[in-house]
Amino acid sequence: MVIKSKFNAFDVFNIIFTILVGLVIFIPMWYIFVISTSTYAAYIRDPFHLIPTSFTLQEYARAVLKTKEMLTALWASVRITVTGTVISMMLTILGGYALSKDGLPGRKILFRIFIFTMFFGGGLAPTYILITKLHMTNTIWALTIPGAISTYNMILMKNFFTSIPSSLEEAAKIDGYNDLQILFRIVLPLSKPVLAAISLFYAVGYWNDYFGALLYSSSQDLMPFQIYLRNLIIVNSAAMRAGVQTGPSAQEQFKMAVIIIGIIPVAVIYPFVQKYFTQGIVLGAVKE
Amino acid sequence: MATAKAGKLAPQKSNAKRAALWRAIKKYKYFYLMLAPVLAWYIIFCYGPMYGVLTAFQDYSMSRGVFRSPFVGLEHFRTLFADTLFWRAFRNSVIIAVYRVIFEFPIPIILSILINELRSSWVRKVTQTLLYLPHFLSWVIVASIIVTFFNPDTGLLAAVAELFGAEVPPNLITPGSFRALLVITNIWKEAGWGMIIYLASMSSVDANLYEAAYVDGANRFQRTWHITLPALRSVIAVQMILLAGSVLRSGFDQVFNLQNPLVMETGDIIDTYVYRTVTKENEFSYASAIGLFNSVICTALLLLANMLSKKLSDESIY
Repeated sequence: MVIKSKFNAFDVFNIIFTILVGLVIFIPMWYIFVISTSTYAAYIRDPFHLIPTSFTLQEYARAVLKTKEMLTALWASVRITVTGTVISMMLTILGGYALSKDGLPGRKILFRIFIFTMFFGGGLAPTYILITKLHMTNTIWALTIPGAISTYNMILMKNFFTSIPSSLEEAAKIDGYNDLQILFRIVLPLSKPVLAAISLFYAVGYWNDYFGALLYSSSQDLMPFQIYLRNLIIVNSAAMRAGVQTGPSAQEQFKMAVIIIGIIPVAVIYPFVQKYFTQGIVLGAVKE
Repeated sequence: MATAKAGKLAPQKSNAKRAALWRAIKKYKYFYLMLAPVLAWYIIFCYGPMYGVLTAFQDYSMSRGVFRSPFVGLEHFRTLFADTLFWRAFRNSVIIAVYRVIFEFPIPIILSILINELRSSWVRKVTQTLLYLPHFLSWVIVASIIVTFFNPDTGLLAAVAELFGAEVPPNLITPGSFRALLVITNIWKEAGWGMIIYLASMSSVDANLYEAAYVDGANRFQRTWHITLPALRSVIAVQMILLAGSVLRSGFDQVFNLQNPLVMETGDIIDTYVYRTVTKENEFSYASAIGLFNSVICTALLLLANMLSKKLSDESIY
């Protein structure tokens, strides 16, 4: 039996309301996009920048072809993201797989040791001291290793591994595989959805990180894109508001083009991985 | 347990037990190999800084290190209690946290119920995709968008205000509007993503329940009230506990990127104050002390929320 009810006033309201919510999310990004593709004349003419009256990619060309700083920053972000994601995934897979084995002696204690860190941490100053003392500042490792494991993601991973039928692993054992071979040859190929979702979570985390670089890196070639953008727009505008003029500010369309360049990688990859989100979250809701 | 009875057999038994344990450990040797780097990471990068909390009770200097810096007892905590800038940050953190609980927390629940009730699958798909997207943008990007949007000379808000003949003040991000700005922009960025867990739990509700209620004459509102919401109860409780544990520190990236020197009165929070103490003044010990104070309060809040929830709804995170 299927519930039959007429398409009533509530349904109409609901659709309109949802579309409005969607617009509220969409408009600020659209606004930035329109400015970034406006010619200077069009930018001056129309203060609203909601309906494009001109289209040019010259600011993008300027940003990508002529702004060495931004290219260096993008390249730093790519390096940090790739290195960090690889380290994170290695550790998360190993930890998640080992924790998925019920019979492992000491598993409960280890699990508690890991979980505890979700609720209590040393804080900023002791972490800063530690990284400095380990001589990691101004290396890519300071921007990747300290945040390498998200305990939450590791639990997601563990829950997924637990859901794989153990008969497969037992069969592989009879074929003479050891546990590491089982993990890499049997289990991981079966785990593509969760691997995709968690890699995306990590990669986005590294791509978006600015704080690590702010604290631990002063060298130009480790300045990620987010720091470049932050200096270009936020720091500049805060300084102007406080009455401090910090040199000539970049053209508005150029700034907006840089924002869009920051959105593009995330917006391009995310639709492909979106279908795995719900699966990942449902797994996460399964309690230990 | 049965130790008293088994007293006589104890030595043999414990030997056998030890052997069994040893066999198990051997059987799992590859898993310990896998866990080794993970455990090492946790010890160094999570428990290391916890050990570094000792600096809160020292006069720490970088050249001496944790082992040789002199202990000063509770001196930094005495400074902290007398520090008006700290109390300003503390008060702001608490007020912003309360705003978040009241205004931000319910939105994803309401949105997810509405989206679950949508009768048009493509509207649902498009809005879901759109609503999740801002979660993946950094606060640097979102703050850049906001700063542009609220620019008093060229921003969209100013343009619209001018259209209606309203006078645009020289600043739109002010001490008076800053907290509201935090709440609104965080809803813009995270409310969509917050829905995902509620939508997932709704999709697992037994469809027979709805049909039975329908046969009994319950209308859509009643079905939502009596079936959907109770099904979400435990998820809501868990989300609430997690929020309680993080609310005093959540939003650092947001506040830090939206802050400017003019809004400190209402917008300086504990974590941003700690950051300035570390970077501008190099006061590691004092920053550690503030951080520790904050951590203790956060953990206490988490435990309190967990206990309350256990009492009220039988739901807890451990």
